Amino acid sequence: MNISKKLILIVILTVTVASVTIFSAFEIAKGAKFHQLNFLHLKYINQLTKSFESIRQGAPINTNTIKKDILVIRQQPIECLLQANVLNKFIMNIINTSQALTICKKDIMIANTALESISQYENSEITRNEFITGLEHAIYNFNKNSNEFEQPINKTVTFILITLIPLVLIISMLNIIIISYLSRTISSSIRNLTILLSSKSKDNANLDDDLESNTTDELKALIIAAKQRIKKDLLNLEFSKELQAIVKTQTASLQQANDELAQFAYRASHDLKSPLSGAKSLAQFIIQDIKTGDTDEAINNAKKIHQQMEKLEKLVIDILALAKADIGSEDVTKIDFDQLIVDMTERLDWLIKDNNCTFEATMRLSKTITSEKARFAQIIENLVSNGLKYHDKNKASSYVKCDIFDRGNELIIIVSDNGLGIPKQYQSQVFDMFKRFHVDTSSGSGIGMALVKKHIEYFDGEISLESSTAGTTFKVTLPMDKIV
Amino acid sequence: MNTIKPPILIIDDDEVDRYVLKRLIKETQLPLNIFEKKDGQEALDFLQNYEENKKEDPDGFPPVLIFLDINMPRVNGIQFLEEFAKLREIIEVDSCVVMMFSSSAREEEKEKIMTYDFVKDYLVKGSFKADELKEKLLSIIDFSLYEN
Ligand SMILES: Nc1ncnc2c1ncn2[C@@H]1O[C@H](COP(=O)(O)OP(=O)(O)OP(=O)(O)O)[C@@H](O)[C@H]1O
Ligand SMILES: [Mg+2]
Repeated sequence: MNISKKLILIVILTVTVASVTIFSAFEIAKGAKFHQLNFLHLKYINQLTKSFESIRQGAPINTNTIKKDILVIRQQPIECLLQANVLNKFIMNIINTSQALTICKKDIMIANTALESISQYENSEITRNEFITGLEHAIYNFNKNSNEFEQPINKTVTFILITLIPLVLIISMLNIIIISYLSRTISSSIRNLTILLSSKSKDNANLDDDLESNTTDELKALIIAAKQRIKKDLLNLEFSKELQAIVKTQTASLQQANDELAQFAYRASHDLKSPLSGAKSLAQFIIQDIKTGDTDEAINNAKKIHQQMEKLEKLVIDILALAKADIGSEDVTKIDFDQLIVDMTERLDWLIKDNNCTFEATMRLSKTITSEKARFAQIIENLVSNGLKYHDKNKASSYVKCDIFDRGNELIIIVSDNGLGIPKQYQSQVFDMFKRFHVDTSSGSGIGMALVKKHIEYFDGEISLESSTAGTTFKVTLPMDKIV
Repeated sequence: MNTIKPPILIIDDDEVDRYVLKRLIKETQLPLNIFEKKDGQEALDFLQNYEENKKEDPDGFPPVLIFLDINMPRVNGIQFLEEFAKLREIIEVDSCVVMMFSSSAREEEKEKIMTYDFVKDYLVKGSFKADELKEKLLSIIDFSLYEN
């Protein structure tokens, strides 16, 4: 039986008990009413007797008073009959007390006969004496009936009392027992469910099975609805949290991109402007030098202009490369790493020779790589040129090594040198734009490593460095599937 | 003949910029003793070594004027100003003032620079001639103190 049926049963039982109790109370009250009516009856009979006594002693007969008295006497048996319902009559039949009702009927008849004799007397159909005898007879009968009425009524009332009160008690007891049983089953199924739900979460399938076998229909429905609701809410919560997180990171990265851009614009314009303003002044000095005939100084200054222009050219090329690094190119080819290294070595030849370094490259690739060649060329060339530029003059021999190989699903490029190293405190800034830590050692625009980083990020790869005064090693790891 | 010249210090990482400034100073024909440092850190080291430098060169140290670039490696111009402000409380460089010497500065940098009362002027690289420089130098350095 499910909970709502149990609850309906409880309501029905309660209503029944209440109505039986109320009914019994009414029935018991009715017994009292019968007694009361009989008491009234006797009082009115008494009243009539008094009038009758005075008439017998010779007083004139006031028919109206007598008639009134008899009418009120007749009223109680009438009411009595009205009060007795089918059930009362039935009970009275069984316990043999129905004579009480017969007595009532008799009383009414007596009253009617008396009333008739009054009108006969008024019409002078009977004599005063005949009237008095009739009345005396009526009074006698009234009294007799009234006495006889008490006994069956007492019996009936007692019967009602001894049957209804235990009946009410028994029904109430039963009711209490049934209701407490039902409520216990309801609370125990709720308790079971609570225990089941608050028990240490085992795996979900298990819990579902337990729920299936241990809960009634409605609780099961409740649990299912709650489960769905919670799932939905959790989903919503997760979703909105995710959204917030996305917005936050997006905002942060936008802010960072914006800051970077502002920084870049400032530094780039500054670095582009400075060789130009230098050259402008130098050109003026050359004019003066020629005017004063100082050709040596003029030649020096012209050389300086040339250097400035070379610096500017490199900077412009670097900035362009940096700008392009963010954009994907269609220019995807099979990369011949051997050729790439040969071309690069040619370009860096002067650096290798100037700095008295050895450069060595090894390649172990199990498959051909098809990708944007320019990015690979720039990554490798910047790492190698840094190794050469920041070599350590105080070491007996300087070297730069480059290893390119694949492992699993990764392409790895390792460039190591025994150069000056990067001081610990600057290592986190190596990839920042325009940051340079060995200004005296070599010139540069400070863009190389930022460019390398950009390319690696483009491929979703990683770059790490290890550096000490013994030298520096950069390790680039690129996921194969992102390269193409 | 007077051999004592007012000492000045140029702090700039760019060799060409230093050369240009030196040459313009030479054109002003003002007698100046020029020191050069390649970044803020070098300059701070030089100034912090006050006692020794003073002993070695009692009249030529400390500098009376510093030309200061902003964009420099290690310690840049702004960072130098911060450190120099602290340094002024320890050593006797009260008479030393700063003239910014840069091709460009950001707004926030300009604001920072303005908070130091020992910064007297702002020169934009490549935008001034020798006679303008001479005027500025004369307004800052009292050459009469060096003539005897
Ligand atoms: N292998 C290395 N050994 C020592 N220092 C290095 C090495 N690689 C980079 N650095 C330091 O990191 C700084 C930034 O390098 P990056 O390549 O970005 O700039 P750069 O070499 O100065 O200029 P360019 O843009 O011309 O390459 C260098 O100035 C140098 O101080
Ligand atoms: Mg480099």
